[in-house]
Amino acid sequence: MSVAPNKICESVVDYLLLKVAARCNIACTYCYWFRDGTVYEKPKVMSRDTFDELARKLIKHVHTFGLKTFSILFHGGEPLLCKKSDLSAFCSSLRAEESNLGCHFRFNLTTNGLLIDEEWVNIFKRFDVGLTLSIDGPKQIHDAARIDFEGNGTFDEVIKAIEFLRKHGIEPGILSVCQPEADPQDVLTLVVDQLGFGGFDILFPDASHLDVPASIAHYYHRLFDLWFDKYDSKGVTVRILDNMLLGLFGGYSESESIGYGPIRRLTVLTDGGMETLDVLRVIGNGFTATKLNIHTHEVQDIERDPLWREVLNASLNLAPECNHCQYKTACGGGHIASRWSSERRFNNQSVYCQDIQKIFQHIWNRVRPDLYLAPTSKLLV
Amino acid sequence: MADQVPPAQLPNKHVSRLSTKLSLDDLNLLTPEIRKELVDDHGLEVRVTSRSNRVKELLDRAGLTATPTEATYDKVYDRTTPGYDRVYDRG
Repeated sequence: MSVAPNKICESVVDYLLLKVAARCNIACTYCYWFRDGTVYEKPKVMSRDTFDELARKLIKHVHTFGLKTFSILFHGGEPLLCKKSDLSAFCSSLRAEESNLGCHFRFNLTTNGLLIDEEWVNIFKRFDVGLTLSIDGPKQIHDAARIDFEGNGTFDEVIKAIEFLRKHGIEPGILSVCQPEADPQDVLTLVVDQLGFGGFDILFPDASHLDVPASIAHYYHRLFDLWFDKYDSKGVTVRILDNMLLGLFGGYSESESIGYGPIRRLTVLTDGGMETLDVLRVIGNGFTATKLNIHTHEVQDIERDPLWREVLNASLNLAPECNHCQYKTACGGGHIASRWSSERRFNNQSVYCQDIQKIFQHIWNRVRPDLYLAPTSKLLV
Repeated sequence: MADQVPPAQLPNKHVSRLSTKLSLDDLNLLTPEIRKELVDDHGLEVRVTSRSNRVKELLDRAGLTATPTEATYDKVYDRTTPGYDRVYDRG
């Protein structure tokens, strides 16, 4: 029985982070996933049984809540470690139900690119899977952190993957992680000028109050200046900057890293375990563990998880210090993981709070002189 | 977000000048309600714009500081295709 749309709860899960692999073929130094040692207790890849059960539960969930779209991000570890036949079967079973359900499933996959081959390309095309590749900048920047288990850089392989995808008619998205000591011009030169991408994103490094992260303000100041002065006119977009501008203008960011709004993520692990935001693993071993599993529970049962409820509540109720901040809505407390401390849990400003305020102020100081009120029709003089 | 100023206290400069140096508080004042009042009471339709095309697009997306309802929250995972658009389907 479907639930009438006007009764739909705002916490209905409509976006799934699907860990199809719990292992990776490289060893990036900043990876949040392996900061939690319990990931090694999980099956290396998702089994066919778990894929099948998840598909059944998703179809039931979409039907129950009358959803018109449902998004799935295939993730890891390295998602391309999972069996091609299993991922194909999963996508196929969902696609087959779309017209019955009146729902479109949006598939995306984030990969380091090293395992892409023709068979994977055929799968991506057949099931319309959007691709994102991770690249942190030119070789010396990328290879400083994105290394294999022998300590070798992976830049050359990622470039080959991009060329391979393009040769087969797939244009991937590009995702970078800020390396504060680097110059963002180098990233723009590579991604835009040399590789010809029209847009990409640079994430803040994952950190909480358990860490002492390097300041990122100067990096994003420079990134914004470069974009605003040189790349904006070429139509280049940088998602983090878009979201910060959108927030400053009173809109709502579409990003989990910045901007006010409810966090209601569901992560499903290789064994079917259900959890909230996977990035919260930076807090410690087993922090995100629940008793919920897709084999025994429904998708929406994630609401029963105290941490999931705590994250949702914290995302909507910021720390007292945030309530008087002029950037409260634009910032939203930053990424929820960055607010964690042992003493106050999520009831903190972001560990990047000072940096974020400086970045917003800088962006505002740069765009403000260009803003003006334009009367559109009738004019009162 | 800065507290909203009641429409009655809206500074005249927003009505009588063609362009003005905007502050963040000024942007926050231009809610749909206040913009409607500008139209209804003063016959003035205004929009905030920029010489930058992208900034202009984002201003349009923000609805010129329109106050969204809870239903417009629409967050995506950052670890996905940048620029991936999500459609909020709860009409």
